[in-house]
Amino acid sequence: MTKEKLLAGSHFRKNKGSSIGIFLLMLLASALLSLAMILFTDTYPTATNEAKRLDAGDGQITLTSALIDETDPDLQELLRANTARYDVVNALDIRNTMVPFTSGEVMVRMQIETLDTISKKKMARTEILEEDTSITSDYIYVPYQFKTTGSFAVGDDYALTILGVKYHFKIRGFLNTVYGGCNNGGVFEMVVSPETYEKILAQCGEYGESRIITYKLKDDVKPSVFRIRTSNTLKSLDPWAEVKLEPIDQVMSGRTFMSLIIAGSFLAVTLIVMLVIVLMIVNSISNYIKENMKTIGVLKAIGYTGNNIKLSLLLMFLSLALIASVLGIGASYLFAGPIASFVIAQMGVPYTVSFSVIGTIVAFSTVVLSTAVFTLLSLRKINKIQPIVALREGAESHNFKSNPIKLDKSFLGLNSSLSMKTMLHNKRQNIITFFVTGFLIFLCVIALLMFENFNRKPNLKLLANETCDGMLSFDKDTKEEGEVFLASQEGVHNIRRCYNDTLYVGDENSLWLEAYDDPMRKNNPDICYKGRLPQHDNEINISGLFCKNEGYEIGDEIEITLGDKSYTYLITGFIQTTNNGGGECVLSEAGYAHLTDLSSKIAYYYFDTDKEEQVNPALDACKEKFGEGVISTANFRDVIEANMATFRGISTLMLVMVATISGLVILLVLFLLIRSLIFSKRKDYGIYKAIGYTSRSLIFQTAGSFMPAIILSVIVFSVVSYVMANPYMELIMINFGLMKCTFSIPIPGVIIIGASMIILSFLFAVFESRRIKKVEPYKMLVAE
Amino acid sequence: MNEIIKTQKLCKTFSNGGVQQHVLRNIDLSIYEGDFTVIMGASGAGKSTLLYALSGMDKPSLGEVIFAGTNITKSTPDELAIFRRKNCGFVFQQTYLVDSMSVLDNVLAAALLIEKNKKKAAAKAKEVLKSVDIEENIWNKFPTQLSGGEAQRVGIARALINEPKLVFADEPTGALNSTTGKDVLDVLSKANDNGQSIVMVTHDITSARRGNRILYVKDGEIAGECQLGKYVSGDKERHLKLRDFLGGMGW
Amino acid sequence: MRKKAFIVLIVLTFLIEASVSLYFIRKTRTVEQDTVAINGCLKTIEENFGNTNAYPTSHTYSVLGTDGTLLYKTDDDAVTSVNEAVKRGDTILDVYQDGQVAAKVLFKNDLQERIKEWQKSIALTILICSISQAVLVICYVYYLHRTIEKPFQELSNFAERVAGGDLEVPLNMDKRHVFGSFTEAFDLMRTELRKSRAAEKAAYDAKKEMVAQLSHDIKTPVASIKSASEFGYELAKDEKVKERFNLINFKADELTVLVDNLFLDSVKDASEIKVSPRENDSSTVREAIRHADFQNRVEDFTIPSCKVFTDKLRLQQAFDNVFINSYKYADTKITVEAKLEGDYLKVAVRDFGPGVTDEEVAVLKQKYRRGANSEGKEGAGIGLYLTSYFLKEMDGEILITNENPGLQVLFLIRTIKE
Repeated sequence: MTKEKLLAGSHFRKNKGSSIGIFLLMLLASALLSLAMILFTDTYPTATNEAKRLDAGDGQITLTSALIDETDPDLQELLRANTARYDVVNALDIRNTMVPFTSGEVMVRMQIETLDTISKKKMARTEILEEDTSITSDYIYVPYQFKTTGSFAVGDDYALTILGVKYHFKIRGFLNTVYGGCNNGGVFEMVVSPETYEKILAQCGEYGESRIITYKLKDDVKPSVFRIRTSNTLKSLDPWAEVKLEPIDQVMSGRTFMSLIIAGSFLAVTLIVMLVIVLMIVNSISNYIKENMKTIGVLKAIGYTGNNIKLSLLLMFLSLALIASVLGIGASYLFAGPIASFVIAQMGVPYTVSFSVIGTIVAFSTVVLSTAVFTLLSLRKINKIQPIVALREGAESHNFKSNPIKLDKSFLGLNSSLSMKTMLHNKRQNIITFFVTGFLIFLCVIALLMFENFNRKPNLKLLANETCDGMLSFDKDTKEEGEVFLASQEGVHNIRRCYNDTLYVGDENSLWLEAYDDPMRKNNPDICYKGRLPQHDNEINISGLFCKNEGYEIGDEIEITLGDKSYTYLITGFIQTTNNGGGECVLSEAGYAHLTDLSSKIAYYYFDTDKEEQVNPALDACKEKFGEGVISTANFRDVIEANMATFRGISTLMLVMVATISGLVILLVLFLLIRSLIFSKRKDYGIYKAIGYTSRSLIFQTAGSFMPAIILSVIVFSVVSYVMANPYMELIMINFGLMKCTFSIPIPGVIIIGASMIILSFLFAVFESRRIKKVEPYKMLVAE
Repeated sequence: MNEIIKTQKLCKTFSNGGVQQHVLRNIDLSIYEGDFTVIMGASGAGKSTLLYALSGMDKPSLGEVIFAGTNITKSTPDELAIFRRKNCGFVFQQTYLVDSMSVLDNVLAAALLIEKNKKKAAAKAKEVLKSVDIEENIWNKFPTQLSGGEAQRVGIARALINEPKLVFADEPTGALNSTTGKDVLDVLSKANDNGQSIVMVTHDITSARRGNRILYVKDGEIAGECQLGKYVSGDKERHLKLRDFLGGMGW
Repeated sequence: MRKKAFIVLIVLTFLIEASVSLYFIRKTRTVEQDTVAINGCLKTIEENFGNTNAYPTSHTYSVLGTDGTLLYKTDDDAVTSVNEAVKRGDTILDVYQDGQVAAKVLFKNDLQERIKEWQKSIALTILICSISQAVLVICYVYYLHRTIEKPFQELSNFAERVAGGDLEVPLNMDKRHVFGSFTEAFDLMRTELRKSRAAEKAAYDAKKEMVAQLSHDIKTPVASIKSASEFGYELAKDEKVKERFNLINFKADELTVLVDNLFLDSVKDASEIKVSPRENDSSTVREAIRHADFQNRVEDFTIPSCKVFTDKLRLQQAFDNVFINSYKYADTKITVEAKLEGDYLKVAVRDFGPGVTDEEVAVLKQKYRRGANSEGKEGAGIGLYLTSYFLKEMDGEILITNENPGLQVLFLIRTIKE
């Protein structure tokens, strides 16, 4: 080993520039990979870990019934037979409440409790964070997500309208809770003072308090089966009972869904960057060999075997990789905090970055192992090469060189012709430049896509089932009259009536239903990505993810059950949804009527207005006229605003990060490529200079020799990225229920990316080539 | 005298764009132990090619080279490398010292191939450096800081360090002026006096004078050879004999 | 061998075939009836029952009342009775109105057409697979052709050329080095053959040169012997002695003929005689003339001092030829005049014999040509031809003129300016 160590040190000294370039690439690779791994292995599972810590069990039932409570023998029998243990507390269940959240409002269920209640919880415990006990009256504890999304702090005023009554609270602390901690779960758990609690209880009328039952199932009981059993049992005991079933996995997927998108996108970006970096490392290593051919020849001459030399190079690159990955992983922990805060925002759980053993091992071993593997791969030819051939810098006994661009026949200018000559002599460099530029273009287009669709013009069609300007819901008695009144409001048009419900397929699967009076009038027909929306009463659309998992195809029949009724529908299309774990279906009103009596159902009305300002007056008019008959109202834009906040942040962050990384990578790549080019052509440059070429023209020649590859790559990959960005996003998004991405990609944006890539790389190339200026022709000529 | 190298019908062909050039043709040659063999010839006659084919640095196209009883034409590159450690030392015209290593390290890089003990290797390297008149004050310099003659003597030290059976020198004085060239040749002669066998390629008659056996390569063949006695400085007759021989060869 | 390219090609072919097959397998699903479309059609009829204007036209079907009467049909291709429909395999569906069956819709089964389309797609799949395989095979054959057949062809052409004796055209190295050292050895063999052939020719030439030289060398003393014997004949008084001299004279003539024949035989072609001119002093010319004139017929003469471009030996031979001719045919005194003129040293050698006719002067320098006066004189008619050739090779010339009396041979010898 001694001799190899001696050589490794010599290799490094001889090629400090390239070594540092490679080192930086490795550093970047390990930092990014480690960061992605932290997000995946440490940040992302936080919510799940917290759920386990707070003993969340397998699910929660919210039962609102005037007839049954936990003492009911049938209910007790059900729980005894199926659950290992369970816990019941009382709380107020306020449905469809507009809750101020981030900068807008979200419509959720509220689960209101007192401090006393949460202290009694044996399962799905609720923890209090950042409590300020000095606030004693009109206080409220809100879920921790209110803090992580960055909009509220302890001590803030918080106004909330509950069942038509406006309350003014002060935030006293935050709740770390499993089931009611995230807007994506549709439930917010809140704790108020006993006085307020009583006041709200009084507003609730006949139903009063709800029973919140948290359960842990026996090992042999399937969660879905239990849910159906519970639903059926409770409905049979009290047909008017409101039963809300929340299985833990659904809650968790709702809660972590956004985090997964963010971490996934980060990983997607990291993977491309890794690809570029690996490509560059391979290229640099093989350039390294080319540049050090003579040294290799000398070493071989004095008796070093191919393996000795390989070992010495491996030793050097591995030490670089080792140091780079250690530093890179260290750096990743520095940046993990701010980036993790985006990931954590949507989960609403307390989190501090902790050491991720797996992440560190993966990042470390990926960088070190890939360096080892690719170094060895690139070094393959060292064993074969004859020492004398190495000494002659690769001139083989038999060669077939040709002169591709003849100066006397070229139609290009002298400088361009010489550029082309340089280019053709560096085929591999150009191929690498081509792909590296291409990958970076792709990366930027993905970032552009995210920015465009999540920030600049939120692509709601992919994120929401239906888009509209305003929405409100009437109770069963008011709805007919209400619909007519709503239609008469100024600017209101295109009213769509909608019902929601939970339907069952067989014993195990449930689907969230959206039934429209006429699905064809939906503003977002794109929700159906394959086939067509249901038009007739026996037709249904089901989410593609569900069908894929269960083996249903378009044209198949499916039996849907609701309570004691069931009906067989024909699947006419697949829909895609990011909600409800991807388990949703769409029916026409007539189709839904096969399963239930529509007249007993609450109806939602989506409507559009001519002008944005007409939404709130229309909503207010309805509230004024029908009072309690209006169950909920929503200004869609405000709701979206609240939901999009995180997306906006992350997409901006992503754009900035990707742009920075792309710039950095192209800088490093050109640095390495031009360095090795100048090295391998230093004699030519010396001769050119000697015969009177200026440094300036040589610099432009060198920079120019890279441009065809870059320009071609920009053109090709702009088109490829434009076409492939959506399919690529699908690869990631399919896990979230998005089967077919139709994200818009603004062509001017792509052109700007391409143009700036070309300009930037030309400037970099000129900048990197400037070293030609420094070297005197004589020194270049005798650079042996 | 013992043969170190024996070639049988050694041929080497190069081609450029498909056009073949037979640089060495059917060479049957023996190199003997203790000799200072000099290979001469006009430029392009194939002397360097012959040197590298003899030493196993290059693979001959046809024919065989038996080096110290081993048929090195059949060896793998790695076997050859290990073979060279013990049997061959090389001195090149361009020195080919590794720029990024100090003088001592350059010699050590070769020494460590045989002597695993670092201290022993270093001691030996220092000893050899001294024997080629490289003083301690330049041991830690880098090759770019050396004069041409110094660099070449370091090159010779590197070639001699493992006491090879044969030292191959390819125009060792080609890039040096006559004074520094003489120092280098003196070092080589001294080594030869100590029993070191040397094969040297040169087209310089002053260098050639050092050899005791002169081979003249012409048109890819050994056109003739001339036996001179051991080199003694200022031997006029020897010089004339060499002159005559070279004249006869069309020098 | 370019294994990599092949692996890529094979994988590519496999991928093409796999994707085509996959596409085809997926397509077979379309053999099923499009239930969604038929359901849509049926439901539209149901909703607009009775209003035939609103019936969809996307399918071919007929509507029959519960009693079997035809209520509507899209076109003549639609069947009009249930049995016909069953026979054709049509789809029969009920139309409900208020929970009661109100009519039957008989959808035309277009299975045949779909099967046809299906067959087309099978054919297409097979076609694409075959084409991609054909491309693979063609590529392989082309590869074999380029890497093996073509170099081999070249090798065999080369062998043919060598066998036919053409050793000049080299064998080129093939790009992929398929035959490797075989190619090298083969071309090496050519060069060695060429070398040994050249060596053989050189040896042969040297031998001939020697014979030519010898014969020439013999000629001069023989001429001396002859003239000495003639002289002796004149001087001798004794008949017996005269007869002996005559015999010597006769035998000398015989010897001259034999030597000429020997010379002629060795010099089939003058161009085979090597002339190597180099810089000489003009005094060498004087020496040559003195040498040639062994009968001392020439009176004193001077040669201007200069450097001349001559082959001493050949110049000697040239003068020898001219002087022997003169002795032979003119047998008079000979004058030599030399002067420097232009690029040449001009040496005029003149005798005062009968000379030749003007017509003959033009052809004297040709091979085997002799003047009319050569009757009865031994000789081959090659002397002046060779002389002319030698001078030309020395970048000079000879000019022959009738001087009446006598013949003049003017040597133009190239001078070298200092």
